[in-house]
Amino acid sequence: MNVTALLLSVQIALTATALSAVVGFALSALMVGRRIPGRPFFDAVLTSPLALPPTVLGYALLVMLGRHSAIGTLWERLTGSSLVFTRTGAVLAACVTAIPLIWQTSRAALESVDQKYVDAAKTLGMTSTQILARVQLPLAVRGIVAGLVLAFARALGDFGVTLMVAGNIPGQTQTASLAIYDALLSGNDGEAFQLSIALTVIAIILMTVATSLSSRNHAR
Amino acid sequence: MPGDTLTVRVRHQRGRLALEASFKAPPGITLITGPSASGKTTLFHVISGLISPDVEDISLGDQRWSRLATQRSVPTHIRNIGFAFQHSTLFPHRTVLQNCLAGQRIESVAEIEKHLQALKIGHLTQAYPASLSGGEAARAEIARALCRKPSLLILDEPFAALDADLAEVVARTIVEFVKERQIPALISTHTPAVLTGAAVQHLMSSEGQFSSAEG
Repeated sequence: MNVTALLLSVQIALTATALSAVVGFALSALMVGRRIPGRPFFDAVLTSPLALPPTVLGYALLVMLGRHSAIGTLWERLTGSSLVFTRTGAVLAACVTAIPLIWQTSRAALESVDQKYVDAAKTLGMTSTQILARVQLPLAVRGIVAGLVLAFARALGDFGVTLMVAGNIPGQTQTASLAIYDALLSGNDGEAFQLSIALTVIAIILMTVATSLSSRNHAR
Repeated sequence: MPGDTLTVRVRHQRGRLALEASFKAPPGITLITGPSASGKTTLFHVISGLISPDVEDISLGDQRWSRLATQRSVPTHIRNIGFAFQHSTLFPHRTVLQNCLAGQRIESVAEIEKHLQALKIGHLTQAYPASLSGGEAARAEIARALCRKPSLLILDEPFAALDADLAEVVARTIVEFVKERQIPALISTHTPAVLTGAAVQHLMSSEGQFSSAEG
């Protein structure tokens, strides 16, 4: 089995989930309980990566991060390497769908915290930041972690965006899903089968964890 | 700031309820009675700043809480209120002791234990809210409000989940607390008898209007 591709997938998915967690949670924490003008539009823009075809996302990322783009040029000047067709590019490709997933699930988890606890916290002298840290976050933590697990699973299985932004370089950017495609094209059915089974097992385990986390209550 | 008088003049339309209240609550217990859905809880939420009313003029002593022309009203977390809600709002992820510590103004655990013991739940410091009975949760809710060392105490139906004996114990604790700290306390109840003689005034609510029971 192509263990290198599998390990690379896990590594990229973990990094992407960590990055997306920061961005996704910050966005949801900023928006919870606030009236934001044009919120439906803002919501739609943030969620759109989940609805768009991977080719559109990949193309958009190539335009934004490519070697001739402002971001791509700046990155290359700072680090000496390109953003696209590298592992960093693969991580960013995975982030595109992980961020909206984490943002959506953590926002839903935070908003599901009963308003009565927030009111009580206010009367106990807590500021909105303290309420977020001491009341809303602990009560929503299972939903938030479930979102992280989902985002990790989604990042692990990404194909289209990764292919367009990071290419399919064995040992560098060839993730498990890309390796399956390669194996099939080259007639290596055994390899494709093994990697598919491995990804399926990981996905089922992750989904089980996510489902049990989001369905558990605070009964102690 | 012990010894301050609460001054309330508010008007607020919320659905079918037209709330209108104008009264002063000096240090001591102000009893508020009246039928369900007559605006008692809404009034408490307005006074504590959880609801912004249409018209408000609320102050405690010389602290003005309501908004002035160019300023925002004083947010709830700065008002220093001890609020025991009608339905338990104990944080489910915290023990009774940790809930009482959430008020941030208590100086020692011994102080909390003193309140819990007075309310006959001294043995429940390490219990989580999910394991408490309705009566225990109601008393823990009151204890948390007392531990806040408030300048104004608001208790919304504190005796609703208690039997007559426990209601008496809780009433005694509240009366002593209010007397010792010399603060105004607004208490709504359907069983005013338990506080008879201890209240400095008695307001009645009816369809959002609050008036003195004496007059």
